[in-house]
Amino acid sequence: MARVKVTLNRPEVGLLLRTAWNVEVEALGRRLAKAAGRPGHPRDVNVRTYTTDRHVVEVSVPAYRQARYGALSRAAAEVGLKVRGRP
Amino acid sequence: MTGHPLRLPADPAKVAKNYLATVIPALVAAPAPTFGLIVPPEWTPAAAPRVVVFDDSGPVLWPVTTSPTLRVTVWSDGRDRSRRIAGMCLGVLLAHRIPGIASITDPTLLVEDTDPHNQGVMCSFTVRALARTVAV
Repeated sequence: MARVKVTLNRPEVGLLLRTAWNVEVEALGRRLAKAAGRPGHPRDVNVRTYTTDRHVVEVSVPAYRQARYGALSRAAAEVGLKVRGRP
Repeated sequence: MTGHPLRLPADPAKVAKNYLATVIPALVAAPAPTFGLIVPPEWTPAAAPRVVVFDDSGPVLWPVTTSPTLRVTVWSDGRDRSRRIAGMCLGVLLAHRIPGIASITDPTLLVEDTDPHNQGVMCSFTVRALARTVAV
C-alpha cells in the first residue's frame, strides 16, 4: 500500500492555521462567552482575539467566578469543549 | 436512546472528596481542613479551611464512561495556606490510584481570588476524572 507523505511544517499550513477557521473559532468563542456569562452582567466575561501561530479566542472571567461557580469549566462542558491546562 | 443496558453515571466528585478527606489532613499544617461537596453559607475565614469538590460536567461515552471536570476549591484565611492545600490535593489526585475513578488527567494550574461572599481566600484547580458507569 502506498503511503501518503504529509508534511505539516509548511508555510501554507501555517497560513491556514492563522486564517482559514477564524470565523468558526470566533463563533465558538462567542458561544463559550455566552455560556460563561450572567444575564445583566456583561462585564463579567471578556473576549479577546489574537493571532500567534494560529488564530486564538481568549475568553476570561473573574477568577472568583471560576473558583466559586466554575463559570468557565461549566460553560466549556455546555459547548462541548474539553478542559485542560495549557501545555 | 433506547436499547442500552441500565447503567448509572458514577459520582467521581464524591469519591474524590472522600478520598482527599482521608489523605490530606495528615499532609498539611493544622488546623485540618474540612471536606465537602458545598461550601457552607456560614463558613468564615476564622473556621478551619474548607476543601470542596465540584462536578462541572463534561464528555460522556454512554453507556460506558463519563469524564466530568472536577473542580477542587480551597477556602482558608490566607493565600499561602489555600495554595498549599490546593497544591497538595492536585498532587495527590494525580499521584494516587483512587478506587472508583479510572483515571485522573488534564490538570489546570491553580487560580487564586478572594471570595466576595465570605472574604475567604480561594485557590482552585480542575482535573478530568474518567469513571465507568455503575451497574444498578
